[in-house]
Amino acid sequence: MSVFARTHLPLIIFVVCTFWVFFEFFIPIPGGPAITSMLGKWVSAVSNFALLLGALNILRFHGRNIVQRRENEWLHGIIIIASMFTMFIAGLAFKPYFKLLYDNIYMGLNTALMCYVGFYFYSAMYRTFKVRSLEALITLFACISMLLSNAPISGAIWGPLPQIGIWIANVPGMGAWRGFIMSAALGMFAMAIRAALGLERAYLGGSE
Amino acid sequence: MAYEIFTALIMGALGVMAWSIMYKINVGYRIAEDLTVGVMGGYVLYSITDNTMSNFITPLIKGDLMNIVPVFLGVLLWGQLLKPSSRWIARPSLAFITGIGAAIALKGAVYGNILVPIQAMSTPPGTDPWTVINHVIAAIATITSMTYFFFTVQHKGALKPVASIGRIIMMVGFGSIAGSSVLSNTTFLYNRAQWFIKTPYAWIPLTLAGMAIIVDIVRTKSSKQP
Amino acid sequence: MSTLEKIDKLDRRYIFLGLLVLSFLPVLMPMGLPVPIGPATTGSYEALDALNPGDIICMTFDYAGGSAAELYPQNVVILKHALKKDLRVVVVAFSVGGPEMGEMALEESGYKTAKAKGVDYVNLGFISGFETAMSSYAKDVHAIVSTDFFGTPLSQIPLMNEVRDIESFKYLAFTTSTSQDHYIRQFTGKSTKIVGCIQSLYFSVMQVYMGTGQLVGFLNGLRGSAEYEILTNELGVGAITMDQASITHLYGVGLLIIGNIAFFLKGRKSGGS
Repeated sequence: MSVFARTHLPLIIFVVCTFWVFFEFFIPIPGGPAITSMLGKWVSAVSNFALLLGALNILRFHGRNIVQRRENEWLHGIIIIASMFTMFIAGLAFKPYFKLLYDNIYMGLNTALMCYVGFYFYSAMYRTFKVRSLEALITLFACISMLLSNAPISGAIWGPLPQIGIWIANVPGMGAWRGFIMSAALGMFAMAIRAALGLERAYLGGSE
Repeated sequence: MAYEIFTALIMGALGVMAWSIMYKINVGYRIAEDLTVGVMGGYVLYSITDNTMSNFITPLIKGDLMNIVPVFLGVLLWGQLLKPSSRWIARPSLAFITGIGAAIALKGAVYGNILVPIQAMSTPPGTDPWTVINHVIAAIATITSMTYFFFTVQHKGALKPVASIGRIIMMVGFGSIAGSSVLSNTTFLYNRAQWFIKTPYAWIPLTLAGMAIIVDIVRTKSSKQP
Repeated sequence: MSTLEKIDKLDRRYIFLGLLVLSFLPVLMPMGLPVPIGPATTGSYEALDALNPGDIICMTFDYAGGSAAELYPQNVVILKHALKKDLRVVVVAFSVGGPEMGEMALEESGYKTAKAKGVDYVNLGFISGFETAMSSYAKDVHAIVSTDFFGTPLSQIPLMNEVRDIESFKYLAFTTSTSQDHYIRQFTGKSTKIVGCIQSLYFSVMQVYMGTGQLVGFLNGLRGSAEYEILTNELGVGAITMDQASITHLYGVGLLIIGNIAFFLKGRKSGGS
């Protein structure tokens, strides 16, 4: 029972669900669409619990830091949990403060924090992006072309300048990404077949 | 009015604290980060709790017994919070959502990601010479870049130059993405720059921070001098 | 340290300072440079412009937080155009922060003041499950959504009586800060015209879907919203940002070139000695 519950039952559920949803799309089965709709709604419910799991994990991780008084971490844990509960309670009972926190912290402060991605990207462009081979030179040329095509001032400097980057993105760049997309879709098929045959179990959260 | 000034000063100060890591690692940045993580976590907690209660728990309590199975599977998923030897109870839920999700993605991928691109690759969108030339170049780019991913066959003989061209085409694709990502990555900065300038009194924390940095630089330089 | 070494090992804080100053400068001194309109934006504009008054469109809001800086202006400018065309809007979100963004966009575009809730616009709120939810939504909206964002049952919303599945919408604009593949897989292949509102990072990827005809157009980050603002004559955030983008992108090109020249000369010098 133990081995069945831990290993075989999840695999049976995976295979039955995958085959049902996939083949119901191609083979008309009486009542099939209604069952698939119901399964879709169930996935929505379970996904809600998965998202809640993420929030609970934050509480567990930082709660543990606070209880164990981990050096340099427990004060930050208090700030995180306090602000988390403030937002939660504001959502339940104090809507104007919820909106205030959403606009200023969730949107505004989050945007300010994400600014450093741009800063470090520019730093990486100067310090890391060094041409050491022909391929790197090609990559650099494509990057500079795209940068110039996204800047309206480049058209004012020389009319056809933005067109180079646009051509690179529309023709060879698009061709490359079409190859990636098709390869990824074929890879997805291979992974799904492997999972259905029980050869892939990473989605179950690790083996024991 | 006082409320707006107060909010602008507080948010300006928090924004400057968030940017302070660019000068030096400091506790101000960690506080800004913690506030953001906490508020985002609290938002998710509130939003999902509200969604779950209204769409699944309340109908279940009111008698819609079809919600028993998804709620049960959802609660089983929280087995991930238990100790490692007990986490297996989450596996049926994981298998359920992965199985359905994979099948839905696959059936969309057959048409959307494979058949339609192949069809588009086979027919040029126009008849003028430049359109046809560009179409042929894009098709060559697709075929050569896909060839690079065929690891089951060694890249030698006739396959070697094809895979090499594919590699170069991929470099062009990556360079193109890198260049276009610059606009994405700096949009946050443009947004904040506009906010700091257009919001009344928001420039005050920024100016004070600038002055503090200048004082710190002068003090550091004078302490280094013999 | 020689000058060459100083240039090569430039403290990155100077680079940050340069970027910061150049981002603030165009806001204080706008340049008003012309922004050429691309075919992707033209396609999006013409698809919406061809609709008739009373047609129903759908907009998905699958972003929140920092990504709103790039994506929110695109939604606002499309909604303003839809309002001018007297279209009815269904707003939905497949990621958590989306419904609030939808509410903000409906407010800023003027829908909340000019139109009637439940008759001309509705916010269906968040549907979890991402691609599974999209698939269910495309097949049968009422099977996956039972109430709107405010808890009103769909049976009490007049607009939703005319919505069954994705083909009830003449036009659908998806907005996402992540991969677009899910929307392409689940929403395309029907009679609904699909438009993407994306981060400019995904420009090349979206060209694939434009080329296949799965998309009629897309808005390429803030550049796309600036172009759309010019087409609709509703200048906003996008137009101001293009000045900032022009200056900082030239700065980026300069950094790439100077960094590589310094690297090349340093290599020659150490190779020579």
